[in-house]
Amino acid sequence: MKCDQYLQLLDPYMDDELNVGERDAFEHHAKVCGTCHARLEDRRKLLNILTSARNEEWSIDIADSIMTAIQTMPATGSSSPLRLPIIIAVASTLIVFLLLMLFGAGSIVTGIPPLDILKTLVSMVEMPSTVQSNLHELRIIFGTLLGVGKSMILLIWSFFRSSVMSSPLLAIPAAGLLAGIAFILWFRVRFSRGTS
Amino acid sequence: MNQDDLAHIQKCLEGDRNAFRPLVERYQRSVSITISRMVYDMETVRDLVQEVFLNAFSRLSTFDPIYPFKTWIQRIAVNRAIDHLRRKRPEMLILDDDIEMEEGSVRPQFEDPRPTPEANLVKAEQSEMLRHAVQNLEPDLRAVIVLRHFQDMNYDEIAVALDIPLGTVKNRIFRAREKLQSLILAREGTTKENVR
Repeated sequence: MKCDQYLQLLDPYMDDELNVGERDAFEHHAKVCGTCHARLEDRRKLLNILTSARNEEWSIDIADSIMTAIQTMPATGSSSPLRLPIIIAVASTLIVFLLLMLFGAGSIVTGIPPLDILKTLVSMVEMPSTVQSNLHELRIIFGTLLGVGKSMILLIWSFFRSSVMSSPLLAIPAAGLLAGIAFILWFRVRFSRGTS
Repeated sequence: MNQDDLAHIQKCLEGDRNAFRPLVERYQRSVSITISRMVYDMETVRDLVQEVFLNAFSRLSTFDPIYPFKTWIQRIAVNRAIDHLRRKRPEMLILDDDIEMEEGSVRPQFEDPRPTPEANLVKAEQSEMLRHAVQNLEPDLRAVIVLRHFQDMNYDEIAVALDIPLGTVKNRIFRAREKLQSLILAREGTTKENVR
């Protein structure tokens, strides 16, 4: 064992955190290296001081004042009242956004009306074995995936150019997203006013 | 996990606020030891201990029964103390005798047996040196020293309480002890010079 390895094991040794092999190697090095042996003795002195300080007890009893404060805390339950409604609002917004994006984008790429895409996807879930042999359905799947990717890029770009309306179907998921964000902001402002 | 603690926590979550009292009575001593060893100001200790329990009560629904309640509340205590220290730095050295005690507050009591006046003197000097040295540690290093030496936690428990990897615990313990050692040695040297 080298001195730097010994140094790494110094505190785990003092705290009895070494396995038998590490312990033996450590103790052997301490016997043969004077510098490291001196380090061990210095550490022992420090730990003796710390151990003796542990016996100085702080006596404190404030259970009554803590319980009085707890009894007067507002009865809002143990978790934040804002948390659940916000989670529901965010989750709903995301779901609506993704559905709109999925059908809107799929419709743009495949040229199939969104409702037909929905019907086809539902039938695929009900009878997955028929999907592989059905070119029309495969076209919808890949077209939709491709459309979602393209739409994401287009959507971001459209926002920057302020021309979402140039592609009307893209405006649907964009509007959904904006409405969701607006709803969350409105909800938070209204709720925090109500609680203050 | 102490089943008794768990039963009290369950009752609290069901709305029985008085069920929190046994938890306060059981853990106020260990929490006050942690806070006092990190902050060293009796009035602040009282306030922080109270805050820790109120915080624990309001977040009781987030408690994970896999870990002991003691570890969980120690984490809250250490985080609160670190937060306080970071806002307060640089801090002044505060001795017990300098603290103005409010009426009805409890002064820290030393419960150690006192064998001889000489031994007491040596111990008091060591205690003062240690206090000075600990107050010069960064909050993160102070936390590992307090949990290791005043809460008697092993490395794994410290890792859980501070939510840090085991390697970080070892590293911080080494750095903290090295610094304590050098501070105490430096102070010992100064004291001896003054005596001459």
